Formats: sequence, C-alpha cells, structure tokens
Amino acid sequence: MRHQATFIIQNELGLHARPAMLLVQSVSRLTCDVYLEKDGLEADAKSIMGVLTLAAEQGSRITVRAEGPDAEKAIHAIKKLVEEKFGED
Amino acid sequence: MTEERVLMPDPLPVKRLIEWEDLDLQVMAGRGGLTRPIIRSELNRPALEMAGFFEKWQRDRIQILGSGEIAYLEIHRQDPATRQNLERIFSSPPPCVVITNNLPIFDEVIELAERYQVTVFRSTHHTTRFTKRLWDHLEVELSPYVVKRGVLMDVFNLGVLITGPSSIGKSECALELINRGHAFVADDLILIRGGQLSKLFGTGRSPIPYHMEIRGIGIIDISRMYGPRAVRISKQLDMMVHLEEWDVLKEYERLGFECQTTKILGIDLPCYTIPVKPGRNISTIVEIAALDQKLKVAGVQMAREFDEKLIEAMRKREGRATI
Repeated sequence: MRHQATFIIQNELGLHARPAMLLVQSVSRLTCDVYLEKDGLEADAKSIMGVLTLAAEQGSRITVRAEGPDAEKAIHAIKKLVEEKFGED
Repeated sequence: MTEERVLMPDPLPVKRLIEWEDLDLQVMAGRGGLTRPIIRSELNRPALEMAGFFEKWQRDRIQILGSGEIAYLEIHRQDPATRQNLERIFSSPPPCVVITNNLPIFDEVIELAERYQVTVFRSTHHTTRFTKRLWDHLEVELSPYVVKRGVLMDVFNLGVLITGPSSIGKSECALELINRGHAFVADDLILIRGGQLSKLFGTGRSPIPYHMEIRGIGIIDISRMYGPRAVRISKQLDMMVHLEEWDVLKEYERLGFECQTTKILGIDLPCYTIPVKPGRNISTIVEIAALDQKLKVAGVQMAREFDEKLIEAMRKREGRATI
C-alpha cells in the first residue's frame, strides 16, 4: 500500500514543536513508513527532530508519502491535523 | 535503507562572497550585480578571452583578474579589439569579476561593470591564495549533497554517522557517547557533502543546531547541557555504524577480516553493521568500532595479526610433534 498527498501548512506559527508532536503521535503507532517532504528534504514523520528540522512555515507545501498496511490511515490523520490547523489560531 | 537521492544546492548570490572575510573583498563597481547567482565553483582567468580566444569561454564561472590580466589591460585597454573582447566578457555576463593583489581597476572595466551590472570586487590577496580560498568556500556551498537519517558524532576525532531504524536507540547511544566526552554534531537529518580529495563532510540540516529528542525527557539542547566542548558544527565523515535489530538468521562480522563499505556520493565509507539486543552496550561498541577503524587506517589489522600468530604457534607445535 502506497499513498501520497500534498498539503499546505495553514496555522500561523507553522510546524513548530507542538504541531510536530501531534503529527508524530498521529502516525507513530501505525504500521507503515511515513515521510514528509519539503523542498526536496525528506523527514521521517515518526521522528520529532526530523519533522522539526523541516521548519515548515505557514504556507509551505508538504508532501506526505506513506507505505505499508496503514498508509491510507496515516495520510488521513495528517490531513485532519493540517486542516484543523493543529488546533491552533 | 532508501536509495541515495542527490540534491543540488541553491545558487549562491554574489553578495555572499562579501560575508567570507578571509577573502577580503571590496565592491569596486557594478553593485547591481550583487544578486546574480553563482552556480559553479570553478573559476576562470580570462587572459585568453581578452586576447580574443573564446573557444573555451564559460560564462558561468567567476572571472579572476590577476597581475597577468591587469598588465595586459594596462597596455591594450585602448585597443578596439581588446575593448570588444572585454565587452564580450562582461555582456555574457559572468557571475562576477575579482581583481586580486590590490591591482588597479581601469575606467574601461568600471564602465562595463556598470553597463552590464556585473559586480567587480577587489581583494588584497595574491591570486593563488585568493583562488584557493574562494574555491574552498564555493566547493562547500555548491557541491551536490545527500541527506541521511542518523546521528553524526565525533568519536575519538573520527566522524561517525550512526544510522538505523527509528527507536533502535540512536539518540540514546549518542547521548551516552557525549557523556563519555565525545562530541555531538547533529541528530536526525544529516546533510552530507562531497568535497575535495574524496572526502565527505556532514552537518546538521536543522536551522537550530545541537538539539536532540530523548524519549521520556523531550527535546534537549546538547550545547547548553554539556557546553561548547561537546558540540561540532560540522565534521568530516570517516565511517558509518548501522544499528539493526538482532537477526538470528543473519551472519554478522565475526572475525574482522573484511572491511564493509557503503557508497555515499560515489565515495566508499567504511561501514560496521551492529546487531542490537537488550543489554548490549551500543555506545561502547561504537567506540570500539571507531578505534578499530583508526587502527585499520594506520595499517593495523588485529584479526589478521591474531591469525598469523596462531598459525605460527601451530607450526611450532607441529615441529615439536615430529621430533
């Protein structure tokens, strides 16, 4: 199972510590590999430091790539968080 | 491991050159060209082009005017042919022009720099020294790179990249190494550049360096906790240690005769695959791997020496048995 989707970060402060933690938590227990890509740089979506290293500011484009049995769930979980602006703003 | 994805750095704006203080550059003319992009690290001394030979002209190189070029201009700058050649150089346009040795800048050069918006710098350094310094900077900034997931450490002065699946304990292993006095470079996304002399250099990709996540604690700042001695902004990469779950079916290195390598940007990097099992002290094994690598580089092969001694001992015994 391979899924991919692209999102625009909407919350004002971007993907800072708290949103990054929520994102990592939303996929960490899923049985699949999940990667986030921004400007050619790819981070493991299950790693806090990786996600934070992307420094994805408001308006930046993030591509999520998931592979494994739970790939679809992973995309949905991240989509939901991004759309809800990680509960911020 | 995912396959290697080679990335190209963004072009460098000409104005970045001013920030490198060891170049000692002053803007003499053509300020409007400061935003032009530099895309190549190679340099050119346009003596042949000034004389009219444009067969090998590469406009995307920084042009260096040393004593030869300036002496030539001093004599020929009024000649219509030279003026035309000079105009062809500036109108191309190159990213920028540098006059070395604090040599004079002629009116003809200033006029062309302004007309075509090509920045002309001047440096006090001699041409050879200047080009070496400039090239060193450009090589670092403009060479292709790859990004690897792992922790980069300085262990006994060797750059060690620790890789492995998430939650295998890379960060914890690094923390223990730091506790033992080794230095930390970066955790998670490591940017690796190929440089001169087939060497690789690694640095963190994060805009905020020296942080690490330790499960159960959170994000910590290594430079705050351990001070400046415990961190390095970048490090030459000498070896890789790959951690993986102990696989009972897999044969791990038992003797140490073979030296495994992994290719990064076409360069062979010694690589140790270490199986992880609860109770195995991984940081000690990483230290030992680094020491083993140091000895190997110095030509010491402990496993081979042991084997030679063993064969020798057996031979002696054989001799005794026949008496």
